[in-house]
Amino acid sequence: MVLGLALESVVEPSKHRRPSLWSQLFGDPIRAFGSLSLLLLLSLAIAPSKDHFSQWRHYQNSYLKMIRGRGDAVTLRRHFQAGIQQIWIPELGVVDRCTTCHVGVKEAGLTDVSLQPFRRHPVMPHDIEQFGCVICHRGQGAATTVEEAHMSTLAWEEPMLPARYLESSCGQCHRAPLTGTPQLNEGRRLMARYGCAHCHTVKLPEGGSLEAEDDAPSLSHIAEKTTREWIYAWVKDPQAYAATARMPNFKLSDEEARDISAFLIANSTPISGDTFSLPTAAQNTPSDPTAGASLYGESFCATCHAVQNAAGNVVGGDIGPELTRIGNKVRPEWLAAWIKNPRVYDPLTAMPHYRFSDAQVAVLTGYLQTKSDSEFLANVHLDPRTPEQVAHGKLLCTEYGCASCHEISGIKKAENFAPELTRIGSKPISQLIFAAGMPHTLPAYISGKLRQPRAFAAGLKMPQYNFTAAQIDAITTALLSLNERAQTLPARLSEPLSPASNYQPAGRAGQLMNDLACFSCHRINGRGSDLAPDLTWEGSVVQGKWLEEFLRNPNTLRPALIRRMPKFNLTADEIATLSDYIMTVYQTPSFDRESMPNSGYPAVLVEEGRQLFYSKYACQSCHIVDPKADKGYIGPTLTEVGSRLNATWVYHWLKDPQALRPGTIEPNRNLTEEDARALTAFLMSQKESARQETRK
Amino acid sequence: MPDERQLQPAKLQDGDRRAFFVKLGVGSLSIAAVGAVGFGYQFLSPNVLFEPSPILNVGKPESYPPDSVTLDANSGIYLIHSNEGFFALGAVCTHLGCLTAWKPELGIIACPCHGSKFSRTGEKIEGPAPRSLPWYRVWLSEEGDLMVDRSTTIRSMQFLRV
Amino acid sequence: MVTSANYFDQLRKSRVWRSIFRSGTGASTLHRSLVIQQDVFLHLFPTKVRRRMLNIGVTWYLGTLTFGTFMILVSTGILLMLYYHPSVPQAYSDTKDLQFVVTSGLFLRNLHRWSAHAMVFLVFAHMFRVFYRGAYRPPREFNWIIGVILLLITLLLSYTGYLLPWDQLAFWAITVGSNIASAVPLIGNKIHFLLLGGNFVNANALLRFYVLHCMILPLAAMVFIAIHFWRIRKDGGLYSHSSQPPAISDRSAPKEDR
Repeated sequence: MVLGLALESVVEPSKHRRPSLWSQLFGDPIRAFGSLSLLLLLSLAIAPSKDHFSQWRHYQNSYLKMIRGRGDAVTLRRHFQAGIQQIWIPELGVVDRCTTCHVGVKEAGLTDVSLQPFRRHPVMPHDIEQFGCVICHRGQGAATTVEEAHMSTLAWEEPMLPARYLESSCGQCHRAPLTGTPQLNEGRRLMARYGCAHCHTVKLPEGGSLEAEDDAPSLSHIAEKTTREWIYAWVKDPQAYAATARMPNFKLSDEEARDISAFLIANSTPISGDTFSLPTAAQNTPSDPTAGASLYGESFCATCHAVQNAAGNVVGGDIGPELTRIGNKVRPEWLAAWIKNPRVYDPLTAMPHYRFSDAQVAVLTGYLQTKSDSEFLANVHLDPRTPEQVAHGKLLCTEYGCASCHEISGIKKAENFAPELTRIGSKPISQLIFAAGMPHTLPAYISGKLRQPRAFAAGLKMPQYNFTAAQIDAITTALLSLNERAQTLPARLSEPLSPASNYQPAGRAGQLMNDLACFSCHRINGRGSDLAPDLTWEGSVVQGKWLEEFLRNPNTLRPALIRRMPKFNLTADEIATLSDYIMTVYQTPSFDRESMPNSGYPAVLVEEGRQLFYSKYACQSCHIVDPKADKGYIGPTLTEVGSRLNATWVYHWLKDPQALRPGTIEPNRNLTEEDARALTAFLMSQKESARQETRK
Repeated sequence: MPDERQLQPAKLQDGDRRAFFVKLGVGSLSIAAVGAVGFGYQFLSPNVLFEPSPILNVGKPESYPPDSVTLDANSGIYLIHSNEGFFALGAVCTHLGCLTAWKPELGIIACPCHGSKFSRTGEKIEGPAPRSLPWYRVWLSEEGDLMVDRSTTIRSMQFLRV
Repeated sequence: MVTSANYFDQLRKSRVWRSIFRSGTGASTLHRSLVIQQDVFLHLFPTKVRRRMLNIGVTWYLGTLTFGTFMILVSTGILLMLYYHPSVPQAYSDTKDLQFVVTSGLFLRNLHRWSAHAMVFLVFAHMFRVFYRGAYRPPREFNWIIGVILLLITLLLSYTGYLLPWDQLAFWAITVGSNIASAVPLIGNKIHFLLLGGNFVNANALLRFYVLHCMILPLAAMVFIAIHFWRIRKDGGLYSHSSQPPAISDRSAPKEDR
């Protein structure tokens, strides 16, 4: 253009020479001026036309077209804002323009629209204006084209999170389980159960590290417990011994398994102390299958331990090890000593110290001995160990990180044995090595790693787990929540897990409770498991007389449950100690348990309560008062509730169950004081003695 | 560019042809110039802003008890639920920009810096503030939330009844 | 021509035009010379050019095209600066926002980028032409030196502009490039330190490269371009016989010069 103008003023026009297209257009300065100007115009026109035909304008126009024919068009049109929409939250680093195209996200009226990008969002747990979109969905919020916003591109690695892993985003802030995130909760539970944190460090945003919940047994005295042959078979394939075994398969060669078993046996030291001796009765008493089985059942061993039945189903709890082939595993004298008092071998075991008599120990030992598979170790023949094998076994144990989970004398737990997973959920895919044929996304990498840890490259050490597809998804979800955002969250949004309680009851009762492993099932002041009722306020809940009787002979409150309180064979002294402590210490501050009498309510009131129980509130749909008529199995049976519970507790429970036990499924029926009092009177009339009288 | 334009001039006289190319050139440049102005305007006006929205969602009306004065120090507004209805006042003193404070015991809004005093409806009671506190537009959103637009001042004594 | 010349003549006759440009209308050689001489920009050019020298085959317009790309770079660069903050947290997202939300931002950025590539290419082409046509020979040897300086400035402009998007490519390219600078004997590490304003490519380096790219180097380029153009005139314009194809055939003359 400049050139044309400049030339025009200087140069005389020349004559037309050839009629080619070139000379037609650029033959002389005038033509060149005209043609070049037009070319300039056309090239400049690229800019506005690109803007006009941009993707987001197209979507906004289609949205307007879509709503035109609708009944609620006026409302939708009023909500619609043209142009690029942006949610800007500097605190979170959020610049989200998703709503530029996803126009109907907040339109409750668009229930019938399934076409993206106009679908409305299902109920949102948070306000979109305060959190934006990418906090949960990932992707590139600032982008205004579909590909850039949703996919992984050259300039943006993090694509949108597939919907099946979406719960991981909740886990960025919420460290404690949420009711709406079952998959995430399960993933975290599995991570704790399978002890990922033994090898992989996971630093938590609130400080400290993720803890594993499994306590793999110490191997320092393993020769007392089992044989080298069993160790060999076990490390070769733990799941061949027990289908539910938590230890993963390290895919060891025969030589490796041979040397590791040699090392572990050679490294084992005898247990100190003289309490470790086989009860003499056990050796002589013949095993009685029926007596053993009934003792096994009466002691509720199945609450924690599972056994594979004839149909191949594993039945029982998953807290302790599976016992299907226990006879192949342990030495009889060790088993007897363990049943007599497990705390001698492992002071911190979750197993309670049952006060079995020597005869009972012998019966149970004999019974468990029969649980064996004659073929299991039939093919294992090991030559005596050599010093070379032992040395090599030690090397292997160090290399495979056995000491990360197990205590092995002579090998220290390695720091940073496996890659740290603190920020695994935001690891750039350019830093990952993918196996062949695998989609190049982070969730695919993580789930692939969980499925086949060693498929990625030769020489990898992570062992093989037997997770189901659902479990892999759950763990992937949990791992994706460990990311950069979770680490850099503003303190205002972080919802850390309440720190694990190290509550320890005092005095002799405290020792007794540890010995009986109460915390393996019950929770008190935040410590313990949720297998059995929380006992924090137990002193306010029950009557002391009932408690003593229950400790002496626990009968079940919920007949529908298979997990029950076992009978520990406590002495009268022990029972008194425990019950005194519970009744004195574990009292709620919210009311005085003496403020209402446990008996002596007028018959009129009791009858009124009965009417309320059966008619107005229909409590019998969940609870049983009359075993012949009532069919409710959801709540605890109330046949003898008047002898068991405290009237004041019953009254307050009826008024507001969630206030006393947050999260309980007992509905809050907003009872009036009169109704609550009448129901209390009725329930307190359901006494043991009364029932016995009616039975007569 | 359509073909006819290229071909037709060839049949014309040399002078006409030149005139056509001059017109083509000048015309293209003129359109380009006009376009450039429009383009410049569009380019220079930002499509997104990185500034806090003047429109605030201050929550449900029920959260403001009757006859109450609530200061939102972050946004610099008072939300007042009076007997006549809801209204919002700027909480920044018109004198030198200090954040004022509501004195419930005196029933006035006072500036801690230089002692300006305002009534509960924002009128200046005593100096050194030059003006009364501004009234902002208040309305109820479709979700039933109270909304305040800090960029729109309205005449005083316009209450929102809920 | 008829009509447009009339418009231009009318415009040139107007008082406003005359007060600014001083040159009036007229087809006389004097008038035409005055147009060139009296304009602050055009006076850098020779007053007279042989018509034959304007044929594309003579110069291929390479110098003019290079200057054209430079002007495009200046204008688009100024517009891009309006939406760019040379700070670590913002530089990258600003670059992306040019693509995502600024109207025609991507067009301008692409134009800037492709023009920069074109300019480097054209500068080299221009130099090759000058070299192979022997246009660097006296009396133009100094203008050749100016040209070499302009080549360096062009390359430095490209290099400094490379860091500004603040992406991985930028970061590592500058890391590598500045490490090359530290290979200079004795003062290499000092150059590296001063160039980056530190030991690593960081906020200081970004700011320094921004100032170099948008301020120091363009100004230097303009000054040297002005000298370059002015020297063409002072060295006898485009029709200096030493650069003519006939001069190449007449190979005895340069030998004598040496």
